[in-house]
Amino acid sequence: MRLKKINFPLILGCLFILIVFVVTVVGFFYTPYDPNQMAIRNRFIAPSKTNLFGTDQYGRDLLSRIMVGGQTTLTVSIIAVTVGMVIGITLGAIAGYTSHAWDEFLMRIADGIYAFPSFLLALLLVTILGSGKTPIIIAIIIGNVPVFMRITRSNFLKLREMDYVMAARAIGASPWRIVFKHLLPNALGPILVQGTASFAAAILAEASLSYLGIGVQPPQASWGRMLREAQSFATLAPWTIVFPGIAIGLSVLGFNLIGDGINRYNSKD
Amino acid sequence: MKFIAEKLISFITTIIFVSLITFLAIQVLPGDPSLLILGTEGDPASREIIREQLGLNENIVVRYFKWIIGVFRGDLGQSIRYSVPVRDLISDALPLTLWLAFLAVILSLVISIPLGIGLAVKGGSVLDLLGSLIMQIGMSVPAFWIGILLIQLFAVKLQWLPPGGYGSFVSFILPVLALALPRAAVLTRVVRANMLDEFREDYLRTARSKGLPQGKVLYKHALRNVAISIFTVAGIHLTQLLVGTIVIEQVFSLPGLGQLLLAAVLQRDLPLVQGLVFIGAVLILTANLCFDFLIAALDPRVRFE
Repeated sequence: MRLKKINFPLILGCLFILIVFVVTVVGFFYTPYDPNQMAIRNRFIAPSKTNLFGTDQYGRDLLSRIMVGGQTTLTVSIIAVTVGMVIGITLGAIAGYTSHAWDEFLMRIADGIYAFPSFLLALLLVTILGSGKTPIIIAIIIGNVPVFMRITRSNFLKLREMDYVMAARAIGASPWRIVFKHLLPNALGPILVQGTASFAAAILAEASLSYLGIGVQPPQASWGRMLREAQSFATLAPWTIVFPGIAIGLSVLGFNLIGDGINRYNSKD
Repeated sequence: MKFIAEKLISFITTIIFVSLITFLAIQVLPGDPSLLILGTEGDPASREIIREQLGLNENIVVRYFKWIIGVFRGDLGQSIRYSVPVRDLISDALPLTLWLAFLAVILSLVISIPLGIGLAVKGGSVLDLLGSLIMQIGMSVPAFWIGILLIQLFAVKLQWLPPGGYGSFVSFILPVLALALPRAAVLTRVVRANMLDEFREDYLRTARSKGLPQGKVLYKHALRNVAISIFTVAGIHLTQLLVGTIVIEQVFSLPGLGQLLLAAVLQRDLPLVQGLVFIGAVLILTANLCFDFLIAALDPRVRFE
């Protein structure tokens, strides 16, 4: 019975994300080898003591490339999700707490944007802006805004009718105070769960677009890009497809587990 | 009736919205599309020809209406790279993509419904915990990676199936599996969670206590109520599957809409990108509309909300 009290998904998820985060951040200061240094003589070294994850078709150290590749994936998803979240929460709060007219107007637009698949939007932006991080970030932001708008709005609409909010309004609390002290903290649970789901989705989207060859451009490393380049050598050097895939899976799994854990925590009380 | 009318109106407004975005993004934002196509080295004369071809010398509003009227007549313009009508390119590639997405939805339902029910029946046991963990992992790995691994296992090692390309039905097996497995993982979780909720309902206890066999209780009574939430999620997944095929077609080199779109994006074939993105969005919206109607047909409560 004690086992049930421990929130395993949350602990495990945090652990995975911590691992990915530490490895990536360390990559800013230190990598075992130069991640872009090609040495044809060293190509396709199997995982060993000198090269923990082995080397790729140009003799580049895979561990170093995964450390650096994580920087691309994490910066893209952190920037995109955070900006999308802030804009979405702000607009959702306006829709959910000001007039009905604003609500109608904003949510109509949100529905329109929501209906536009953000993966197609990303491809559209790449056509215009060229390959790189920027179009991917913009597409993920635009995709996330209506999602956070909906969640914030629906929670605000529910919470504003609560007695304690009414009471706060009755004693003359300012709208700012009500929003920041009473509504937002209580809406935070669902918003955070959506946040973890958005992070997971952003990592997958960045990896997929990089795999298609329209994310970051070589020689810069990215997990998706590494898989694209390694695919033709998969039979010869299986480790070149195994490790980048695990890196993507571990990050996404980490965020999914954290979301699950928060959900479990919320449903307890 | 009111429900259908409301859904149809929002469907049409969204399509107009989508058409505006695709049109504006391609035609207006980036400055001069002829520069995009030819690069900065293009000489003014050939740029003028491209501008004429794309009808860029006209007023923007006129251009939009010309385009949208053309779309309704089935004319999506001419591809720059292939010099073929965009419509022909799309109608050649469309069936493959639709089949992939359709088969993947069916497969993921076939996997997830019995599996989810099974896990729910064993709720709380070690088997259930293990199953939930596997589902978590399954929904976290990218479909294209599963695709690459499947090729290595079934095409290279065991040599049972072709590694890619578009021949017979057999060449569909691996791509459909790669698409369906992550989706099935998510759906299994939905089925399991909803089933567990359903178990607490009175009508199920009644069904059990009057001595109905377990199978009948699960599949005749509980599943019917769970079906609504399954279809709601499956509808969302259809969207992601259509998008997912873009990547999976690349893994297995299948000549569907995804490959066409990717080539068009990389070669900056503007009319083709515009046509594909618009048609892709319309497809997804139509699929969602169908699912909305399906759910409303199953669940009268939805119609009156």
